[in-house]
Amino acid sequence: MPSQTNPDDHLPLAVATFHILVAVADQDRHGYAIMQDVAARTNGALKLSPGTLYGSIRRMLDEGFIVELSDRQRPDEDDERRRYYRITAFGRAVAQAEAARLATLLRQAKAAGLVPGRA
Amino acid sequence: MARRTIGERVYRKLLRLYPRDFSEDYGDEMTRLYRDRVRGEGATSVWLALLADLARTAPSEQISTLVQDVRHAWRTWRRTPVLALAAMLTLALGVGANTAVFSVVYGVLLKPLPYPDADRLVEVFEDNSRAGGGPFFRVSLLNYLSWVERARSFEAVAVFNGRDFTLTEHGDPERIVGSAVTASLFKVLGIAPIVGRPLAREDEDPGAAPVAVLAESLWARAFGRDPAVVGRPIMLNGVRHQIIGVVPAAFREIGRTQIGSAGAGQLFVPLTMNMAEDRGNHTLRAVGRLRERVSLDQARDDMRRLAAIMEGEFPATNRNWSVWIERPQHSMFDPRVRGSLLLLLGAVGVVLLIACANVANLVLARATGRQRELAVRAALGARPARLARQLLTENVSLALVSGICGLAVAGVSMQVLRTLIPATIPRVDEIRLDGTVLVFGLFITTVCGVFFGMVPAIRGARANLLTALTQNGKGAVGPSHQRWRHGLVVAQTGLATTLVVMAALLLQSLVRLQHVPLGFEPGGVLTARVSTPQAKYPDAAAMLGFQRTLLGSLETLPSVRSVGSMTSAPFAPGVRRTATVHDRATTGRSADARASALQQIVSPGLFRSLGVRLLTGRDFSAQDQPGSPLVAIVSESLARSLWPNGDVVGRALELDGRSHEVVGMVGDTRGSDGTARGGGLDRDPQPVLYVSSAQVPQGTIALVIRTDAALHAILPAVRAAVREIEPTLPVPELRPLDEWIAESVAQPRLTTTLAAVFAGAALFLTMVGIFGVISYAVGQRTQEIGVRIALGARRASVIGLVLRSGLTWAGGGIAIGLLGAWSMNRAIGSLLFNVSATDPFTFAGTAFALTGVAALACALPAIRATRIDPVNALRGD
Repeated sequence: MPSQTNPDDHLPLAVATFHILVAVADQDRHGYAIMQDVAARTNGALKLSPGTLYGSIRRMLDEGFIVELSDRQRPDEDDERRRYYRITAFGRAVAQAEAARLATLLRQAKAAGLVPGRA
Repeated sequence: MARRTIGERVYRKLLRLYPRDFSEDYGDEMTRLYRDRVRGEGATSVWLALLADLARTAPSEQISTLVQDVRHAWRTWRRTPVLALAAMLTLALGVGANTAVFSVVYGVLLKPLPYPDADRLVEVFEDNSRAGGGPFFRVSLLNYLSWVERARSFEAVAVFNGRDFTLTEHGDPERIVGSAVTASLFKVLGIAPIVGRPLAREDEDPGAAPVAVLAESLWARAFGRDPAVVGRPIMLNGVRHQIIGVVPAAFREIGRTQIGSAGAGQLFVPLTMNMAEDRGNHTLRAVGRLRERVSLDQARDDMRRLAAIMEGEFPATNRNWSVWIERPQHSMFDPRVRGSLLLLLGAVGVVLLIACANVANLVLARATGRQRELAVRAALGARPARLARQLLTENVSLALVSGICGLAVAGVSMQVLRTLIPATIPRVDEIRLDGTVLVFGLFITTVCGVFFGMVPAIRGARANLLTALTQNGKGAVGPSHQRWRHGLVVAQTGLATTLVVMAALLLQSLVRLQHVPLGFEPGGVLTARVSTPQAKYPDAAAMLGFQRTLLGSLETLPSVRSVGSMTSAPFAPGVRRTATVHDRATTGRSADARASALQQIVSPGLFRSLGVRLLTGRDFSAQDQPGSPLVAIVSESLARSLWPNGDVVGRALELDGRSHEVVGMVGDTRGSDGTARGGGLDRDPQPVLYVSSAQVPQGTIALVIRTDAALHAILPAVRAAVREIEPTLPVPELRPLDEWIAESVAQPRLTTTLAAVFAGAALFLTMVGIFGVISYAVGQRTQEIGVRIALGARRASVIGLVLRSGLTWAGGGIAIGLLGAWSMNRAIGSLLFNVSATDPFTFAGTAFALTGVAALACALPAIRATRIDPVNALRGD
């Protein structure tokens, strides 16, 4: 059973988990769509393999970050009856917490002069 | 879904590498993903990436599922800590005891001998079966030399013979046990010296300069492992020998004369090739290394053929003699040692089975309590296989934790066992907790975990929501559940019964063994072996003079009642020579008047010191002198076989071609046959021929001192007396004769003790098991019993109800157990002395005792049943 306690307990997130959360943050997606979205956002640098993708999905379902959509909730145009995943409120909170953590980290890196561009 | 391509089908198959529920859940999705990617990227690049992905993520998913299950298991066990602890302790003790006993069986019986290609090592005997002498005779030197020349099966053959040395190196002279060996023993055993050189063929020549090889133990003890010891001289028996090398502990006598390492030889000298030896003198032990790809049977055939040829060539000495070959692992053990060890391994295995049954009971009870949880999870979509896997993981992980504790238990019990095992049993020093033993421990642990985890797993997987939820919150107790529990009671009781019968039989056997008449009185007798220094007393007269002075001087000590000497004290180590004697009057005419007897060379007064009864005639005395007519005293059984009816005293018998006049007859004694240490207490007394030490000189004697004083009180006086007579003589290691006798039964005593401990454990565990099952049953029948009480059932009838159900199942088990014990009578019979393996009293007694134990186990739940309050029971909870 998912233990939806404090989002901070789950930080830091694994890279794949965070990417998947970002991919489903704006719309429900199936596995291949998640993979494509992640690849597009990283310019092909991160291509989630099936094992990593579904291993992560399974854990995220267990943790309650995402849910699987029932047949009725699936977009009508999909003829292949793929499984779609939707972010939960808790998953969103966790993703936000992770984003905040990363933002803080980035700020600190900038202050230390580690980030190029605006010094 | 569209038809799958070959690639998809292959990928689908590969997905089975993931945990089952994972591939069931995501297999379709992953296959789709595969198809989408192949469309986009092309098959080759996708496959490369997929294979890498599989190799990386399949194991990690497996592990993560396992970790999840183990975590879950840990959490659920923590909810029932008492139960978990009880199960763990039971298993840990069971696994520990089994692993310890296995380590003994493995180290002593199964482990390959510590030599290169040890499976090619054999022990070679001269076989006198055709003349009724048995197949395990020692080998004659000249026959050995013929074999070396002509046998085809051996890469090398070696002979050796135990020898005592007096080492005068530092301060006090010291007695060292060693061997005379042929140089070929190095080749047979495949062992090289640690330092120095091995013995060479030339060292065996009669005129060769005396050399010696040290065993590692003596090198460490006396020379501080100094490599420069090679080339140094040492004085052995008053003769200067040159040390040529040091050999590791594995260089030793192996086979029939092998004993625990404590008694292994510490010093080796070359065996001198004395070509004047009689071919008929069977004095040496022989070991050989078979050529590669020569089987034991081929070697036996080869040697038998050769022996047949030699019978024709040397009819005077070799008639009726053949050759027998045996693996040393077989020949080194009394078959009873093997039987006892296997019996113990079986017994301790039974204890583990009973322990497992108890744990299975606990786990089953717990699973019943969890029926609801499982049913709910199944209803929420958990697959049966997943639930079963989880239950199994719970139990196997509990078993593994217990197993690890069990190995600690094994480590401790092994140390205890090693001190209990008689040092006379070969290879005791090779018992250790090594890889094989650890693997065994883990193996039985896993088997246990699967065994007691399987039942609830199968049942849990079939959890049915409806029945679980409608069963009053107590969990379902179907008839099949009860069947399992009752089956376990029957099995436990049966196994315990068999074990108790065996332990009881062994116990009776041991008691009878210890009360067997010995034919002498060991109480207050001390013995020691003394070797006459040859260099100082070179001839028979000097030797005899020395021995007489020694005996005389010991006899004058205040607390000593009498002193005698003999070739070897009963049950103690020493030389044992079997001689053929015949009645002089019938020589050449009848074979009936021949007998084979142990020859003992004894001093006057020996019989008095040892407490052997003189039945007729006289003891040896001062009138028997080297020059006077040869005299002999016979034991009762020897007299009976030579002269079944008629006088004994005054007869003439022939020994070694010389006539001896029989002057007396003494009672039979045990511990005096021709085998090592004179045979066990269970061996019937063998015929003995006594001759006078005045007429037949011998270098090494066994002192027999009858005294009123304790060992430690008399030792200083003995030491002073010896030093006064001969300062170069090592102080005799005095030992009470009682100790030697106790040592001779040490092995059956250990077997019996362990069997009794195991039987006791089995009994206890069974009692706990019955108690658990009956208590549980009473709990389940609370309502029914409440109704009965409400309807006026009396206390006695309620108790009777509970007892009846418990005793019915236990009774079935007892009957099966008695049958089991009866069917094993052949196996155990060989280990018993004067007790029948189907002794009806033992069987009946055991059945009675087990019934009592079962009744006791049922008593508490029965009494609790009478206290059930009908009102509460009917209201339910």
